Amino acid sequence: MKTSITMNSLLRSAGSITILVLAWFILATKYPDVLLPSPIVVASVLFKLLGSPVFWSSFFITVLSFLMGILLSLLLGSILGIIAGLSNMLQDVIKPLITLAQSIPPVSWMLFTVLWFGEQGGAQIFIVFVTLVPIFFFNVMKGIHQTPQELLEMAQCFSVSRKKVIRDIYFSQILPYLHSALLIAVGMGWKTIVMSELIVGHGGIGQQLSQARVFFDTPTVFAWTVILALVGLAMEIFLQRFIK
Amino acid sequence: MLTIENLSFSRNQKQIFQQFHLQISPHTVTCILGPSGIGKTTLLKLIANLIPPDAGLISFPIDSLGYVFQEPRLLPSLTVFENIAWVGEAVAEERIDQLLEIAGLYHAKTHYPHQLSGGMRQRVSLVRAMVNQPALLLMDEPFQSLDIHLKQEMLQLVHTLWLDYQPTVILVTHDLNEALYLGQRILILSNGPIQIVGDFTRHSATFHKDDCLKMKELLSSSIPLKI
Repeated sequence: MKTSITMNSLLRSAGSITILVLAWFILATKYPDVLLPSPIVVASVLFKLLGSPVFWSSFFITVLSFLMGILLSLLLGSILGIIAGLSNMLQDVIKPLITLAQSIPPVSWMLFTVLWFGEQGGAQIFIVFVTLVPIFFFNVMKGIHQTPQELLEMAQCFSVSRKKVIRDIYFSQILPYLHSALLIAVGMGWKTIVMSELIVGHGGIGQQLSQARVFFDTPTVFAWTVILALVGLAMEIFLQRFIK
Repeated sequence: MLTIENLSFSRNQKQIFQQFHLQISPHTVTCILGPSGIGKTTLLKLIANLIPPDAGLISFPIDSLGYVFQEPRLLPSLTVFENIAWVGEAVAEERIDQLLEIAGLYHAKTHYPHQLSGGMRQRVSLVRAMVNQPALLLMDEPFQSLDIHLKQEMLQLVHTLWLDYQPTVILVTHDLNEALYLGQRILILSNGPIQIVGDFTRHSATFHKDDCLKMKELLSSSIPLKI
């Protein structure tokens, strides 16, 4: 029964994507490639790209910057979230700073970081980091706030060590919040890294997109976009299915 | 000997305890009864040092405590065995197994709390409270959500476990039957601020008939009885 429901769901999803590709195919016959290349043209560019060394070097630069940005933000956002969650006084100090960082648009950060770090100074990583820190911070802080007081009281009664309380009460409490934060952060971080590479430059898929756009190479822009969408989708599915 | 001297405590501008005194002999089971909301749970929390008193002294010579709450308060991510071992520092596995055996939970030692019935969860919480062999065991209406059969089983279990090493037990309850079954001493409290209005000690296998009548009389003026 479950298998048949999953199959039906997959068939419906495949159907909607097929309709989209068909619509794209039909529309592309009415416009030149520079405006809307057909799926066949895009697929052929995509295969050429996959065989080129530029693709793999750009891909790895983007993935590496993305992973570094997300790991740093996960680390700092979680630590600050735990601190703010455990201490009202420190929450009053940290929360306004994070809220302020969150309210600054990533585009502004991009301009600041180019000035501060230059093109090769890890500006892309910093932009991902600063965009994602608030997501981890607020989720982890909420997780700490939602910790059942009765469990903490029980631990206090039995004089359980602080280490055990953090590991078995707080940590298991924040895990679902961290999972939700990670789901949001991966999607947002992936888009942000490409956008920052596009503006800041210095390698990566974003820069390849920028170059293709300058030369009106729309099929290449589409091919990279397909790759970005597929990688983003794959990461989301992985997080949803395998990290619980 | 657990000694409470000149205990004062207020909450939300309401005086719950004012110069309250109580002495409890070691290795006895003392049951505390009284109307709902007068501060019986607060008394246990004050003894357990979960909340500080406004004034007064609560002293107990040995710093080892077990607590059975109204709800089981088990960690959902740990198994029955892990939940019990969690509160102990270097508790022998054999000791936990032995207690699980007595509590009829050995078969469920690898189960998680969500896989247990309400009665089983409460039994785990009782075993957890006794695993370190605490000198003082506080029990806050631990049987109130259980049906009559489970309650009977739990009462027998508490008695069996108590016989193991005879800790000092303070049981807060609404049910006089529970108190008569387990208690060697029964205290009846009244509110505003809390006072001991009845103090009965058992000198033989059961409480004296006159004492039972007095207890019912005192309680019937404040709470409905299940006798």
